[in-house]
Amino acid sequence: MARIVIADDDADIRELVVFKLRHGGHDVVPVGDGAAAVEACTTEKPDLVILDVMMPGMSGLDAARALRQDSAMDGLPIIMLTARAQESDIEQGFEAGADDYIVKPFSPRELASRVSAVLARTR
Amino acid sequence: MGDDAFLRVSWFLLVGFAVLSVLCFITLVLTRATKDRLEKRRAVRAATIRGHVFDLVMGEDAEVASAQSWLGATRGSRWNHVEQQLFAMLPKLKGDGRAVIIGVLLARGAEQHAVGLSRSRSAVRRCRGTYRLGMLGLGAHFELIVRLLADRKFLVRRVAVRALGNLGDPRAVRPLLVLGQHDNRLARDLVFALGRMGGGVAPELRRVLAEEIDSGEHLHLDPAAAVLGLLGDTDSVEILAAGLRSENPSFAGACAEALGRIGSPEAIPALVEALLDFRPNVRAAAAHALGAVGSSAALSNLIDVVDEEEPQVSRQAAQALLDLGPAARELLERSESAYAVEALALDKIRVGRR
Repeated sequence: MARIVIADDDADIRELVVFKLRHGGHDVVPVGDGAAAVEACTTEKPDLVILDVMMPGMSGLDAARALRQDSAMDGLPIIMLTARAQESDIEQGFEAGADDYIVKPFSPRELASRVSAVLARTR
Repeated sequence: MGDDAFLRVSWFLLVGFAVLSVLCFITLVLTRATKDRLEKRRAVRAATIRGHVFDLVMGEDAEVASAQSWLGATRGSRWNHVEQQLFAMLPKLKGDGRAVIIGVLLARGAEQHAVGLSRSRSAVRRCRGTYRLGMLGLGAHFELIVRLLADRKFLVRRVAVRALGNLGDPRAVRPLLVLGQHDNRLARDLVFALGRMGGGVAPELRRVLAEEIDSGEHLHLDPAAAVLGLLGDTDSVEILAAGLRSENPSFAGACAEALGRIGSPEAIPALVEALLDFRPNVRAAAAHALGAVGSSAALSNLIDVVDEEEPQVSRQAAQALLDLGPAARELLERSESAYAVEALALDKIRVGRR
């Protein structure tokens, strides 16, 4: 079981991810924007964070950069979950510090597998 | 009127006002309480439906079966809510979960319902029906959706454009471009829809572009060029290079931009030629594209236009050189052009911020 922060401004997506990951036995903390994700990572000390890119206020890319600059978050795996599917977007995601990149629309089963794979790699 | 009568009337008025105030207060409290209760009931119903929908999409086998049986037994207004939630979930999912939802919807007659809605006299219902037909992705209704591109209401036309994108049938290319010719408000929707069709649409886009370039470009072709660029379709380099010579400056610029996105070195000779085009937007787009292609083959051509008469072209050329690595940067540093100095200064600020 892992503690996972999911940040997405779309409540449906958030609920979908929360449902799927809780089903898999994880402890999930849902938040609605990038700033709240950074805050949740500081207080909850998660094992993994899932970030949407386009969110109000702080974007997922900015949140990823902020997490990578924080030495207390060293090694925290980040998965981007976003509708931005261009090659340049994916490149930007990895440059910002993402460990994996999932494009919406997504398969919940695939998401769960990627989460398990990233956790297995980084734990 | 005596004092007694005046006092009596005042007393009645006062009591009447007090009674009215109490009645108003009670009505307000009751209205609020009823509204709260209804909202709570609605929220509980939505949460119940959502739980079953999630079980259906992501549950274990037993949960899926239970959700299917619960959803199958819903009737009337409850089914309408279920249907709405299922359709709202479709654009967010792919894979098994999406297929299961579509299966449930089709089994409950969502296809016939959507067709009926798309033929309604109400524009809102037509939008809903068209959206649902697109989401169900049934090719059998291709012609119906194409006819809705000519709907008198803009919103219905817009939903029809996106629905065709979901169907992914390349036959939609020409009707979509014809619509774009008449309604430039739909330009972004066209690019979205054509892009959503994926790589399978590229041959048809190339065919339509070739036909139109041969016959004098009667259509608004910018979205077609943009989508070929977004798809990174290397087979379209030749036709896009031909588009650079179009009389329409907007289309020629779109072709340059698309060639930059594709990033094929085969496009360099045509882009270098476009740097000498008489239209500034085409020269600027060509300079930007040469930077995006990322080859050093055009360095001398780009440095020549860093100091040209049009600031937008010079700025793009300077930026392109910055993108092309250390050798290009060195050329830029040696240039005396104000635009070279500006590009280097802006780059220094950007680097400092990181």
